[in-house]
Amino acid sequence: MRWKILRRGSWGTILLLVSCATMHAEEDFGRTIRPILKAQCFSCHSSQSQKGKLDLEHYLQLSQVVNDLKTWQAVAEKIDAGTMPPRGKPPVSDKERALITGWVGRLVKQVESAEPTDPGPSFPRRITRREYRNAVRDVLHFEADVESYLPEARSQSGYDNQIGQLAFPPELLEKYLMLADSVVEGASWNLGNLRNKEPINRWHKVWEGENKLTAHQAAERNLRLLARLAFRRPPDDKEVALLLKPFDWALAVRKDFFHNQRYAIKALLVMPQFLYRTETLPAGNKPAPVDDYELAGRLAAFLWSSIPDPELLDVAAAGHLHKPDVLRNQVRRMLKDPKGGRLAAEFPEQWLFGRQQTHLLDQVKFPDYTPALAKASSEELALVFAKIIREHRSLLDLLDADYTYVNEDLAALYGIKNVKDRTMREVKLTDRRRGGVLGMAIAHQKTSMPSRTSPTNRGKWVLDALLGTPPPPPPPDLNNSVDGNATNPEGRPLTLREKLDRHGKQGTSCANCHLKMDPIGYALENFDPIGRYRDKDGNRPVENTGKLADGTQLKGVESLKQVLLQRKERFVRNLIEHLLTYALGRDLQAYDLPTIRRLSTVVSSKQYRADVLIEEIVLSYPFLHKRAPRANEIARGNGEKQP
Amino acid sequence: MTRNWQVDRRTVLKGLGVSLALPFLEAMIPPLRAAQTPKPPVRFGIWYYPQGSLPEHWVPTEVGPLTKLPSVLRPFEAVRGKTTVISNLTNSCYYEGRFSRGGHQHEMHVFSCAKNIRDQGVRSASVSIDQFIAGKVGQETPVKSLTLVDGGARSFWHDNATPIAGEFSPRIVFDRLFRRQVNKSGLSDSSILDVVRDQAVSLKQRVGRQDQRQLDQYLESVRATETQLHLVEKRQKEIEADHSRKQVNLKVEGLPETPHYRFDHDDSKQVQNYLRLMSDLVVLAFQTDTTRVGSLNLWPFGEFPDIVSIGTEFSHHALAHAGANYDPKNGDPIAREAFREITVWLNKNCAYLLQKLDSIQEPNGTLLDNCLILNISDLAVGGDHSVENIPTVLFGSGGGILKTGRHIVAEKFTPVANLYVELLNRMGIPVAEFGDSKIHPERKHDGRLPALG
Repeated sequence: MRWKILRRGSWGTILLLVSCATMHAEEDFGRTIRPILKAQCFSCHSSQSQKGKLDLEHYLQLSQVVNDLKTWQAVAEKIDAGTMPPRGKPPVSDKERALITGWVGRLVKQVESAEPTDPGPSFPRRITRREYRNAVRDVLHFEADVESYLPEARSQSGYDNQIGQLAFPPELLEKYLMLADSVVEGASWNLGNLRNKEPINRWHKVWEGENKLTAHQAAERNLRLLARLAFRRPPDDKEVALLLKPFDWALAVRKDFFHNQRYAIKALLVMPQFLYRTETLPAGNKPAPVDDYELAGRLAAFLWSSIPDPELLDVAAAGHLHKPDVLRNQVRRMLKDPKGGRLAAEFPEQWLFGRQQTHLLDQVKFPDYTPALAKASSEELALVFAKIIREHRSLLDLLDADYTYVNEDLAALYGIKNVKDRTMREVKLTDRRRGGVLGMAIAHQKTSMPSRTSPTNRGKWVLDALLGTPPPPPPPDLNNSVDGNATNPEGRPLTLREKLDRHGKQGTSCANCHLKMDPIGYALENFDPIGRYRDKDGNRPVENTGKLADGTQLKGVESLKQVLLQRKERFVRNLIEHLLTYALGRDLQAYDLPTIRRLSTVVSSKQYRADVLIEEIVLSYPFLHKRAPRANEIARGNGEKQP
Repeated sequence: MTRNWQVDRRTVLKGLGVSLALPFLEAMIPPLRAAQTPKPPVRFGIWYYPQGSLPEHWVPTEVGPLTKLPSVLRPFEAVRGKTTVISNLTNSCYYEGRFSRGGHQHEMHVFSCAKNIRDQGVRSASVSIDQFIAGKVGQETPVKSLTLVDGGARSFWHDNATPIAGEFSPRIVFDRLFRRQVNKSGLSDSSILDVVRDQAVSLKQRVGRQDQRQLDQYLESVRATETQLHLVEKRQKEIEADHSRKQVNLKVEGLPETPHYRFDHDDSKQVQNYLRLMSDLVVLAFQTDTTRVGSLNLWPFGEFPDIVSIGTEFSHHALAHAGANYDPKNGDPIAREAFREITVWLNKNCAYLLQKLDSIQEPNGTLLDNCLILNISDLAVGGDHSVENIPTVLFGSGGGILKTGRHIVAEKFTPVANLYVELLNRMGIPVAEFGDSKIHPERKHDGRLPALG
């Protein structure tokens, strides 16, 4: 009975599993919770007014609440912390507060403790331009100029590999044809220079008659080899026949094996089997395990941003890849491989800054901000993350650590002596104002305005990127011009801090969010826009103090690190959600909560080790399973939510 | 006439130029055939810049004949008689379900006039005016439309879910327009398309029937590319068969050898070279009737250290906030002047495009006469994000569908969609509405723009 309902796969699936307790939750919602909200919250958060984009009125059933559980957790937290209802509105009583927070807390527990039963939809997904570049690099040893040919697809969650952003607009195939032209021309030139181990040289030998093959047979052998990698599985006979067609046509025109083979490779590079990572979909809505080749494809995309290598495909061919111990071994091998560095090079920067509106910094005002410094700042983050993975270290090293990586440019910025060249190397830190992302130059560069710091941006960034609790976006019709001529009573122009403080106090609509963001940013004021430590801003001493909404006093970056370390569970959970988003290539949904919970539990019990998290994600239910998309799940437009 | 055209009758690349027949070049048409020569089509272009303008510097003081251009329009003096200034249009819109008279995200509305802009979680607008026109007139040309310079893929839309990332590389634009459709060995892309279509069909069967939308998009792209190849080949044959049409050599100065193209966005000389290169490509594409729709997006250029001559700030955005509010009294006058300097400079670059279009003769006038080039921003003024009275200037008469050399004052708060409905109808594309023209709270004149006369 329950099984049948499950197969229908409604959005309330999770609810049915938690049966009895949830019935109470449903009853409580209608009888107790909604009436409190109606009396206390609807005046601002109704379907009509939707202040802060929050509409509490439209939740009529528990299933809606479960689908938006994250929103409800935030609601409960705000009520619990006393920041909602805001000052000036009638407060909720202690009893009501306890009812709401208790109810949400129980609901979250119920939902999270269920077994994951929905892996989310499997769409044919177009590879990202990084994946294209890496695949061509790994197989043909050529650097494809993907940035010039292909559009970037950055989603609102900040990642470039999200299904919603990877549409195939009409003009794209032509771009792929042009790009493939440049690859086959460039790669063959390259291959002329790089003798020895190149795959195409193996093919050369084949053609030279090593096995006494005809041109057609030799081409077939080569194209099968290449297609197995590019398609992430062996091509079937029909596909092989199509792969060979261009070669045979070309052969009829001109007897030049290499030339004709290039033409066939060009065709291969625009085939949907390469440009899309596809999975065979189980019938109906029933989830099914991915097959071993599909798993290899997922793994290569997650860890290498590329296609599988021959070893991974061999393990898949033998049918062993899905076995947990084999899978763990492959993950470890892949992370050790030089290609394993790609995860560290891509994920942290997309996670931390992918959603960030960045500004070009003023190079006249900051002559030390050179492209080389920007590059080193980006590499610092990647290298620290790579070390954390490689040495089985804790993810909390991202909040505070006694090491980092610098080259001479960064060392000069940080005031570290005796680093003399452009190579990045590990250094021990005694000054704990550095260490962890808050001490990294990239964090300050990506959150500043062109010519000054922005405490508001930095505060928002900490809340969003590190804690996963972004303040709501500014209202759509906001007039956010700051009065440039404002002065104090003595006629002195106001400092930025004074302007912001005014901003934070004027009227509740600004203050509600700015009182949360700005104090965090104040604690980081010792870092100038390019990440250099300063005690003075111009002629004035830096004011690096701020008071959080809960009364905590902040002074400087070290105090902020402490506050974040106290909230390490939240930090790690946010990071887990982000890495899972990146690994699955889609926004997380309510049905992912049990998975997130499981990952949190394991990672917490293993000293927050990064490598553990990666392995556990690979072994998690949604990574190992697939199901067909439902009609209401659109792949385009960055949304998989129900309308 | 040079003898170059006799060297090769076929369309061939010559280094970094192109040699091909011009469909509408008067000098090339023998008198006997002139009567049969088709009227050149209307070409539609957009020159889009962010941050708005300054009303006191772009709205002419007098209504009617344009006798004197205000300061930020002065770069257009050479084409003043072919200019139509339109004031009082509004870019207000529904944003996430709420009506908004200013703020962020209006760049998603200015060309799409979407009934509801969505930018939180889901990003969505609707088909933009350039793509709508391309959908109607682009079927006859080898390239349906050009969207140049990537502005973060927010302003131009294929449909409500697919924004267009503009083309940044001049070389790729050139290759898209004129690359030989047959590769060195005589092996065409058409054969590859046949194969990949069959591969897509076989892949669809393999994946299963539940969801075909992704691969259908791929197949649509295959079809679009095929159509384009077919058009190129067809036109090629016509030109080859028609000996009266002669070839000319067209050079694109400074076209880079490779697609990779990077330059210093803060160096206005380099930005100017880039914009000229892109403008040259638009002119070439229009002139050869390779495409009839082209848009240029100036979003990526935000810092102008060597254009601004006063004050200390030179970021377009920062200057807008410091000095460019709708009311000149609000904000720093030095920043406002610096902002004006940038706006003038942007228009100077647009004037290059216009003058180049105007230098090319077609049977019934100049190429510019046969164009409608819309010079526009999504904001009235960047500082306060106001959207009432966005700067709107049209150039060319679209082959005579517009009386030019005038300042038109629309009724206050006329939705920008009205301009599009009016232009579409005059271009022979009958529509009753475009985007939100019928649902906009300020809707008027049945979505038309009677002031255009």
